[in-house]
Amino acid sequence: MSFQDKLAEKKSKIVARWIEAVLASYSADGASFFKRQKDRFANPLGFAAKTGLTAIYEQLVGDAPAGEMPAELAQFIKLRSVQTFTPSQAVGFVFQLKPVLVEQLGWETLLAAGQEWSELAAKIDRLALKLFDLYVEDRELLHEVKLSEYKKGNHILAAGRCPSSALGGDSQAERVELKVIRDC
Amino acid sequence: MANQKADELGVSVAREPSLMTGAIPTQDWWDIPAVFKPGNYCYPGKPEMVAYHSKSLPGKFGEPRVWNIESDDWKLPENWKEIIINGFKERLDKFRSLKIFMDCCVRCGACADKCHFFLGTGDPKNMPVLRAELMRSIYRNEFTKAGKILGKLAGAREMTFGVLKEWFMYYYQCTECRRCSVFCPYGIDTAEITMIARELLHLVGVNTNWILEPAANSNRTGNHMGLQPHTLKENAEYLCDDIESITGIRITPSWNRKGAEVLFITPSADLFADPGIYTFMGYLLLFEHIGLDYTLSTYASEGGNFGLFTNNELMKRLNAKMYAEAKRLGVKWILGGECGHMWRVLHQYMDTMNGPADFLQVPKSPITGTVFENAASTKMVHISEFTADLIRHGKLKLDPSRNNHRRVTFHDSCNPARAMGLLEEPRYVIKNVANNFYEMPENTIRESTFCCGSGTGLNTGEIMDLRMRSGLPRANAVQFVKDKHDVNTLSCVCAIDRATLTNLVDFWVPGTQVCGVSELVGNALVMDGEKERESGLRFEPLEGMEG
Repeated sequence: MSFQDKLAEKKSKIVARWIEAVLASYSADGASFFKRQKDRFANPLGFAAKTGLTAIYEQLVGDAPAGEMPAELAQFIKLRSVQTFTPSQAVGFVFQLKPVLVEQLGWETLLAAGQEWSELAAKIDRLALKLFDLYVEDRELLHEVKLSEYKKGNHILAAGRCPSSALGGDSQAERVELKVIRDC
Repeated sequence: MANQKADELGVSVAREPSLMTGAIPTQDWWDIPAVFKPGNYCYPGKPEMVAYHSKSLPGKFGEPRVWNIESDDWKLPENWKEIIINGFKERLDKFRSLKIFMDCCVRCGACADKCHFFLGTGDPKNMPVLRAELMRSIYRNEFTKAGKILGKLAGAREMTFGVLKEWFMYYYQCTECRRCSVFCPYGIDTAEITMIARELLHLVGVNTNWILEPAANSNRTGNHMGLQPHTLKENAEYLCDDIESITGIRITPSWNRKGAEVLFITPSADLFADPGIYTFMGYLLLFEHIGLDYTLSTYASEGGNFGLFTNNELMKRLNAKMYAEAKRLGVKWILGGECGHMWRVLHQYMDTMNGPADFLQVPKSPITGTVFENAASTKMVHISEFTADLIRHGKLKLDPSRNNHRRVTFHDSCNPARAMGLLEEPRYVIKNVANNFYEMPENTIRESTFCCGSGTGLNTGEIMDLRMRSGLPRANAVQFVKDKHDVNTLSCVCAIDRATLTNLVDFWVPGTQVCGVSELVGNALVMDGEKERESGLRFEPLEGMEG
């Protein structure tokens, strides 16, 4: 049986272990729920992780050149970009695939695969870099969203004290500040 | 079969904390401390805001001071524990519901996975049952025999600074949306637990400015931005200029007019914030279309009740302002705009706090003659109810094709949906004013609607990361209808939604616009004497007018 065939044959077990490893980055309660609930709307994180990792595994082990980034994986990275992970934690889960492959196929199989294993390992590395690019794009987008909210100026209005507050006998300094606001 | 080494490796990959993935170690929940870092907390209240509120409600807002949330010295009063426990006791005596909610939870877990904060974080303290447990554990320790005797065994623990930090972190990771309550077999209103927790935090001066300042502005000036009468009027005039450019119709709304039949109150954001302003233009067109005898008020110029997020007495006060103004102006009844928590306060608390509003009349549509019996006590009708009734009676001339450039879905805003049961009316309106309407999946709408993730005063920029992760379940459903039906418009009936969903979709579902339902109504209304419409209310070209 070729290396490719073995990767295909063990696909469901390998992907399941990989997903389990990735979800272990959340609390035990969180991970257990993300794994259990199958409804994609009741459990968007779990669905994105499962669908995204399955799709990318097929790309990684297939012959075809790397295809488009699965939308669910992109969504998963986007979510991790706004969770409390460091950048390396947010994308580093990709590397968990390697120990999972060792566990599921055994070193002997991998060593025997030689060049093919080395190529797969390199693909995994490249995927991590791609996901890091996505992560950075997502963070930039987040800052654009923040900036756009800031530009709308709601905070200025909220912070600009209503001059009628001066009627309440506030300090002289505050009145001066209010005059400045009014003059603006 | 894998060899022993691989088995060990497998275990280390999947079941233990990992440096690579940042796995959270397995510990009892109360052994995991709340850690504040930039981005996961709202800025504290400015001393002058605390001082302002303390003037009118002494003792409810703690000592004004400058304090740093990240430090371990919050400059609390020496007897802060006593204040909290006494405050807790006072509220248990006053609100029977609180006592029941503290006692009757059987920890069945039905609510556990229903919270958008949990779904976006996986943090167990964001499970509503555990969030409530943060308070229940103190309740057991202080107010139950079992807790006093058995302590930790009975799920009781002492009030400590660590617990206070936990409260501040997790009761400000709850938007009081009440999705969890829908699934609770006992009907525990988890939002009310959050409300009480926030009240207790305020007693010792633990607060956020984004809530205190708008509440101060609402109390003093009449709206949360502190916009004064002339500014409100001028803003409305600018919007009327735009209406004239688009439709050729000049509208002159009246302000503070005594003797008008109806007082119209809407969130002040509808007068100045994109995209709420287009919703406001829709209201004005509707009123002009039917010749409604209405007035706006510069004093009751805020639908939103920021008191709801602080203290029930402030909530009562802000709600009372609307009624005081209705009395002063001598109107018959109040029409309310597309607001969120105004309707929760109105529908569930107003009657107990300030009602019944006997000086007003039971609302009766002057156009259709419909009597709104559902508002017999509060005397306040939702704009979607009012509009749906007009459409039902064939009183509106509508051209829904003017919304053909919009492929619309509807987000049930939490409070109108779950706190007043407003589910069908907005849908009925949308289906009559737009040709392309698509529902999001059933378990994400109506009573099960997912929150925008930024309600209850969490719509502030310093916690944008948190807002984006808690908004994921909502955005995920929007993405689904965008992929399936090419939806480009997310409509809703809440001002906070209009502001925060805009950010949410810009991040998660770029290319989607957010609008109020009344904006769609305004687009579709065929006004007497209007010029040919080439654009919608935000000057976007209508279908066939793109060139």
